[in-house]
Amino acid sequence: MANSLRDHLSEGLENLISKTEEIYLNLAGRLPELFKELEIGFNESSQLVAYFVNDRESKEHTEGYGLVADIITEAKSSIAEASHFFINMKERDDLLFDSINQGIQKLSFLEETIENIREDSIEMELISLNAMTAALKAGRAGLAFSYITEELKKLSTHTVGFTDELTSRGEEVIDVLVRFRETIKNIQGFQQKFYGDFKTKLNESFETYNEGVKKLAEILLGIIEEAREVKKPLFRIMEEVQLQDIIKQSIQHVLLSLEEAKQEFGEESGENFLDEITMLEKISELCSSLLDDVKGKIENSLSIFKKDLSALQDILKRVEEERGAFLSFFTEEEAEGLEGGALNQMFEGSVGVLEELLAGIRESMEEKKKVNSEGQLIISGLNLLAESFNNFFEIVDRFYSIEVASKIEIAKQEALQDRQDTVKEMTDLTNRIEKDIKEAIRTIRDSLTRTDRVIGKYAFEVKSEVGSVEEMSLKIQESYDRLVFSKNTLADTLRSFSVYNEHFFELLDRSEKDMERLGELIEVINVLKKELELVKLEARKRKAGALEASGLEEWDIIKNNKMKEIIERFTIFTHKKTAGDIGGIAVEEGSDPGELTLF
Amino acid sequence: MKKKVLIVDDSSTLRASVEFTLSDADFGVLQAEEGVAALEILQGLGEKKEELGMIITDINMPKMDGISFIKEVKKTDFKFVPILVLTTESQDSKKMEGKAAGASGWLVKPFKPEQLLAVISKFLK
Repeated sequence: MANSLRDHLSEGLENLISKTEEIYLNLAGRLPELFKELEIGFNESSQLVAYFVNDRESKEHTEGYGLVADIITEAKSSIAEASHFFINMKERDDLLFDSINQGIQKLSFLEETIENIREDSIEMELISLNAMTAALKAGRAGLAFSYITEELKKLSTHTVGFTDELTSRGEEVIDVLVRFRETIKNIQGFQQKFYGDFKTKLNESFETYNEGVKKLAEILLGIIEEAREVKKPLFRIMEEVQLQDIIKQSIQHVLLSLEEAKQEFGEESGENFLDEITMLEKISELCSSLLDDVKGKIENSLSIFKKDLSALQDILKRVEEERGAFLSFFTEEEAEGLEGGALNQMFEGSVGVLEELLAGIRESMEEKKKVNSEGQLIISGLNLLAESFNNFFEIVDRFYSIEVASKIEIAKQEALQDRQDTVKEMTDLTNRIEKDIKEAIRTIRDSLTRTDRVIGKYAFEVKSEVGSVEEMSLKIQESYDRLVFSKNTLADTLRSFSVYNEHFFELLDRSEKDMERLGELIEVINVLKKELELVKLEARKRKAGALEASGLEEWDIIKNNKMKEIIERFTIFTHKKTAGDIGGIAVEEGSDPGELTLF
Repeated sequence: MKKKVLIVDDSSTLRASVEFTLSDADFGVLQAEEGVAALEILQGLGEKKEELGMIITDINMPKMDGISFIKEVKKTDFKFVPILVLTTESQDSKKMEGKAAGASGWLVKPFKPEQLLAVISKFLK
């Protein structure tokens, strides 16, 4: 073999070593980086998920996590506080309601009292008529008495009319009280229903949101878990990378075989020449066979790389599709079959109840403020009623004056002596009327005091409630705002959620390019093989010439040391075996690749 | 604390492949290109009184080959550290040389990650 050809082949082989080394090393260096990037992506994604869903216990381990869980816990705490406050408020309202009811009940007795006064006044009117008749019968002696009885009749008639007026005024007050009671009852009913319902509703909707977020996290974690599958093909690629060591040794075997091929020949005849030319032929064959092995290994690597890369791409594609479908389901305004996306739907329940709660609180407080002004109407009505009853005392005084005047006149006139009983009846009726009036006034004053106290207290409490309710509303508003924030952050996060980062894709792209370069090396090997084939053919031709000149048909190498040395220096058993087969030398048996021997 | 494994091989791709397999299994990995450099690492570990779980070595390496390296290790404080030979050499005569030098096992390249991990686990038990 000419020096130039051997040098050319050696250069090509060295170049092959350096290129395969570079490619495999690139892969070997990049795969751990890919894994690192994957881990970064997985950790970031998992942390992102934890940021939303971890509860307080896990928060201790991972500071700053559990946004939604925290918000919901805080909102629940505000609502529990509000609920407690509303229960107290309801208890106060119940007391007011009882008090108003008692007032109404008492004032209904007033109606009875007025009716008694009215009946007594009618009787007084009848007595006055009888007395008037007696006075007329007594003639001149009864003249003065007739004036008195006339006055009694007028006063009695006036009293009956006055009781009608009182009845109507009392009824008016009772009407106001009944209306007031109805207002309170309505507020109570509203509060009971509202505050009773909202806690359950809010907790349910929070739970829906929380569960929704947890479900969302589960899906995300599922995607992350699935994304981890990408490690498997990467592992297989990394396993294959070690083959470069064997490829390098294989090419080195070709190189050292070439070194053993004689470079220059003198006379192309004789035993020495036949030995050397046969050796050259065999070495060319061996090198070609070794290159076939190298080519096979590279092709096998390439096939594994491609297969695993394709598996990896499939995983990436599947994960990306799942991510896309998941994100559109949760975040897109017009997701299929959903209005506003599932995230919005999950969220709307909580926000809807919070909005309802805030509106309900405001409405309830407005109604309560009205209660105060209505209460003032009752108080002024009761005052008027009391005043009216006070005016009755004047009538009673006049009844007493008539009674005194009647007694004097009867005592003076003999003819009127039989009217003693009439006067006694007058006295009894006046006493009863006075007693009833006093009773009525006491009842009214009692109601007035009670109503004034209760309404005053209620007004005061409503005033202080306003502050607390505002504070409460503010807290609920804050919960609402934080909930909106969590939803928006969640939506933003979901939109940018990706388990594979940009660097990962860059590294993958570069690895793909390296694999392409590896494929190009197959052609380089083919060219080297063709050159070796030419060497072999040339050697065969020259050997044939020498054999013909010597009158021989075949030639077996006499000095076979070179092949033995080659086999000795080979580090791969299959290569030793190939060389042995070509050189006709027995080779010590060896283990298969991957075989383990423990000593 | 991670157990350390020293990998001695002149092939950087092989070292990278072993490191990748072992790191993923939570081992600490030290690397040397050949025997002399590996002995220096052992010396450093000895000075710092650090422990070593296992050595994995190739046979055909420049400067100092695997068999000579194993013999040298047996002269150090790390003589009881198990040594696995990881090589393309597979003939019994070579294996016997390794055994005589003090190797604990012989694995013919290329290795399967799970197989390598199983061997290491066995030795580190």
